Amino acid sequence: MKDLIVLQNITKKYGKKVALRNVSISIGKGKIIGLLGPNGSGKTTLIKTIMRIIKQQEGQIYICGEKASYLTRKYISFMPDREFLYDSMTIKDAMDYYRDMFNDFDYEYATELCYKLKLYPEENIKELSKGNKEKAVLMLTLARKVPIYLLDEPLGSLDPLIKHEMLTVIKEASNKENIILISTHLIKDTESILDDAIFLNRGEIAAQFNLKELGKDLETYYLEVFSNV
Amino acid sequence: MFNYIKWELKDFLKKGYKLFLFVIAIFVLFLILPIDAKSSGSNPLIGLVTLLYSLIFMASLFGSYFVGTYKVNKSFNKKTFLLESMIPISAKKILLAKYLFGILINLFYLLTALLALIIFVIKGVGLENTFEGLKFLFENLDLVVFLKLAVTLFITSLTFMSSVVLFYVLIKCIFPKSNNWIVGIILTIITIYILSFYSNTFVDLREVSIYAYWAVFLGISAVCYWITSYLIENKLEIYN
Repeated sequence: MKDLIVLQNITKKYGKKVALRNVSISIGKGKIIGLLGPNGSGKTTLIKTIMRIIKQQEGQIYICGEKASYLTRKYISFMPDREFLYDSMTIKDAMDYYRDMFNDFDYEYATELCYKLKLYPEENIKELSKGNKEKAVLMLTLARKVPIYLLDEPLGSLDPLIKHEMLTVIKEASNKENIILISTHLIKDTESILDDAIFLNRGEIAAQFNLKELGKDLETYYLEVFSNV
Repeated sequence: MFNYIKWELKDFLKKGYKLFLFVIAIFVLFLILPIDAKSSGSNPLIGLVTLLYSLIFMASLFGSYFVGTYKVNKSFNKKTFLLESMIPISAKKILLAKYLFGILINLFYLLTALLALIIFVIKGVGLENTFEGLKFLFENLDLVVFLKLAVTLFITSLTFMSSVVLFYVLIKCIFPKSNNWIVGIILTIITIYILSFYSNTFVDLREVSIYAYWAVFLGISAVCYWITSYLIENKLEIYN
């Protein structure tokens, strides 16, 4: 199986601080993968490096077999951990924006997701609650038909009902041809939908495994790994 | 690229339409109120409208040169940069779109200033005489001179914008975590130097030929554009 994301010896430093140290990962399609680790472990840096929002000092990144560049962004739908849409937009404006900017945006599916996530297209993004903002961004992200979805802390500090709604649509969006990489520290919440997990600690890969083969619950293993490092 | 400009303009108009309506209201009041040297001092409403009108006129003139550049620089903030970082188009295309957007904004302010000027003339000599004057102006317009002036204004504006944006992006690359106000101070100092350098160049080159001025300034713009797009593509980052 051709790997959709290949990272080879990635090192990223912020001044003297090493955020990613010699990280090498290959991720194949057909999976939902959890990128897990404590705060400051380098999860967001890793995702932003894949998106080329930040640039690594060493190593190479390949997306769908191509060396990472602005062109490989067409293969990735990214949900950042911060607000990024224009304040003046309604949800419908944001959908129109995505349709204009991304050829792969499925407007019909976006409308369907709005219905599923109980979002009203005429609502102004600025006036949405935190949970609904997250849902709107998730809707936009998943409505793009691409092989790679990068979700950076999609569940934030949302209430259980919204978390459940969001996890359901993420699970539904997963298929044999794509990968969904979720960066989170909410292990219990996401465990049910994950196929694989990558543990990141102080910028290094601490573990990478399949959850079915793990033989114990994820949180127990997480505590075992991170209490020993 | 044009979609980028379309959405930036939409955002600009959505955010600014209240201000625009306010400007129109002041212009209308300025036109209909009996304003003269005596009434401005004695009637507070007339005084306020005259003051606001003057401020709008000056701000529009100032804005026609600086706001476009300010908007372009502002588009490198975390939020917009993050959004742009998802779009699979090259830094060169997106920078070109930013320049065009900036020039359109400048033009918007220039038109506001021109409108203010026309209203001032109408107020002074009446509507009919103003139309007669404008008609005379257009009938006797030397198109070559007018085009030369327009191109010179465009090139000067573009060069100013591209060089200030270059320095802004450069500062952001060198000090990615710096405070906005520190960046603002450094940029203001650089901007003053750029303006003085360009006005000296203009004075020197005007003696030679306007075409030499265009060539030199377009050359500067092209170099700034190339370096800035390289920095955006390879160096500019956003941190948490």
